Amino acid sequence: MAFIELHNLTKQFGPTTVVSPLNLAVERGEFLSVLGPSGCGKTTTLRMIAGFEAPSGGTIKIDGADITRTPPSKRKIGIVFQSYALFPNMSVAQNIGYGLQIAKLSKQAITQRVDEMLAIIHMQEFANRYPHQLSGGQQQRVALARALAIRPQVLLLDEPLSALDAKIRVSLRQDIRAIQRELGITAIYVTHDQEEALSLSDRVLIMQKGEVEQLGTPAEIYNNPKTSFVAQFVGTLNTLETTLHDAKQGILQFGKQQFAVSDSFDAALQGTTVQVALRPERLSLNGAASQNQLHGIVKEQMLLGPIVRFHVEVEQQLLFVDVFNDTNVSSLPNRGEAVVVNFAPHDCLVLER
Amino acid sequence: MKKRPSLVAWLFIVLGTSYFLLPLIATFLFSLRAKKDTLGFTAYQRVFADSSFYETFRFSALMALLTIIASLLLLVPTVYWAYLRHPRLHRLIELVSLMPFVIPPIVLVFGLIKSYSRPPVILVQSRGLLIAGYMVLTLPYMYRAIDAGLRATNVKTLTEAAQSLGAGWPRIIWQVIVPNIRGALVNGAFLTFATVLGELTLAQYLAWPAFGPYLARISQNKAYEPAALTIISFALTWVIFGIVLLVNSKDQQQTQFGGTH
Repeated sequence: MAFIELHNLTKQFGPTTVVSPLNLAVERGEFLSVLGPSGCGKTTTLRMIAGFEAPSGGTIKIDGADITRTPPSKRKIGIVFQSYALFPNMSVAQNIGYGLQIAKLSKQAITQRVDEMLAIIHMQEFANRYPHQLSGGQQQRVALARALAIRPQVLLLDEPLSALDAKIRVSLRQDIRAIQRELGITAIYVTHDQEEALSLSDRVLIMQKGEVEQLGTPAEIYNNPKTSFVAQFVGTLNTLETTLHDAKQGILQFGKQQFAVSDSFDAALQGTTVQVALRPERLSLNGAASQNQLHGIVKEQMLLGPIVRFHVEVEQQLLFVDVFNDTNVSSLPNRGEAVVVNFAPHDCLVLER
Repeated sequence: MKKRPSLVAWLFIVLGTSYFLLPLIATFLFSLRAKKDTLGFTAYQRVFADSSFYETFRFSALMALLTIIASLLLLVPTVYWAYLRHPRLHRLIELVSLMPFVIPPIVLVFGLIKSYSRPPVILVQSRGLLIAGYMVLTLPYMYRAIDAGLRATNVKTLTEAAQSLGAGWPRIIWQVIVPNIRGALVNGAFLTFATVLGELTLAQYLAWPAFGPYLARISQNKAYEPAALTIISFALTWVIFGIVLLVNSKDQQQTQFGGTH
């Protein structure tokens, strides 16, 4: 039995279904990210788990206990909000100790636990400061410590890094993951940032329009997206609309050119449309002849730091091709130059829909 | 580099200050002329020698404090609840809060007398009815102050954060919401105090020995004492709220628990 179980969890606001029947099992100690665009239902799902939204249907179980109708104050769930939500009238230590005070721990126990939490977030010297005297990153660390101080069963994080600048986001997300591992707490992390989700999580749940698109490890999500939405949403992707030319051999027709995929198809599908996705980093320019080849013309060349991205027009469609920005940049093709785009059949991701 | 206020800004500052201070200065100077051809505090001495002054002021100050307490107890949870759970109720509450501006106090007091001077509920001789009347009169000020305070605070998220830490509603209101809108509450209380202290109609018609009717009575019979009384009540109001603000700012430096000191 999983630690967190969502069974047919649904949420409707009037006639609008925000979360369609959702079934999810999260193991103890797992770090699960819920990723999706704005309005996909990820925050509503998190708020239902927290108890801030009443589900329209379905059940929520934590450690076997049905908490669907339990008030949020009785759920023992720690939450970190995007806007930090520190109590402005309380110092850092008071914020962290607030939940412990409610739990009626002794003053000595509170002091000890607050000190522990301050050590974990490396902010011992900030105990007596007030939230307005801290930076955004420091405030979010305090919010994390406050949520963890009560030793919750589950930690929920609702886009906790969205309001921070890029550098702090990266360092804080590493800290969050390290602390989660150290404490072994089960965490659900809502984000719209795919990099965050992929780098932090044991598993990633992709949602769109209130429905689950795919659930899997970051590698599965990135390398084997099941739907065109996941493929488009996670990472940069080239999507090619092809016609199945030879079902048995897995040969696809793309405009006037053909290429092979490693999948085989039912003969009945012959002549039907097949969507294929190709990651830009899986493509190369003017490579080995044994691979799939598509002929095109370089339309644009963009330097993106460690990589150079080429926009190659093939059959009136632009394909992105990423090449390492090494010392041989001068030998790379220029705008307007005819090139051959190479890729292996197993790099083609045949999308389900 | 600090930008210096422009000439136009200074002009408006001077105009605004004059608008508020000139009548006050004129009243003060007038209050000093109780004895012919000399400036002195004779009018003030006469006021302080009158026991009615102390009795009526004490009564009105007490009523003002009770009105503030009752208004806060009623309005803070109500407005907070509307904010959190029924945002659409806001417009209705706002509309209701404006009624005292539309309905004159004389209508209110006769309504109260008519409703509560006969069975089944006789309240005309109760201080509770006077306080209830004052609560209605000061509703616009108190409601707007609380509303402004809640608007400036991230009420929903703070509430949810407190809930997730195990706090129940009374604790959330008392420990999280009220301390964070304290400034707004002090403002509302200040306006309520000042309004109740000088209120005439309700106290007069409900026959209570309040400061407002006392001021009106003195004004009818004497020339310089009313000016002295105006200055005294003005000064007293500001002194009281100076103390409140001082206490509030000291409250900010709260005692600590937990953490490395």
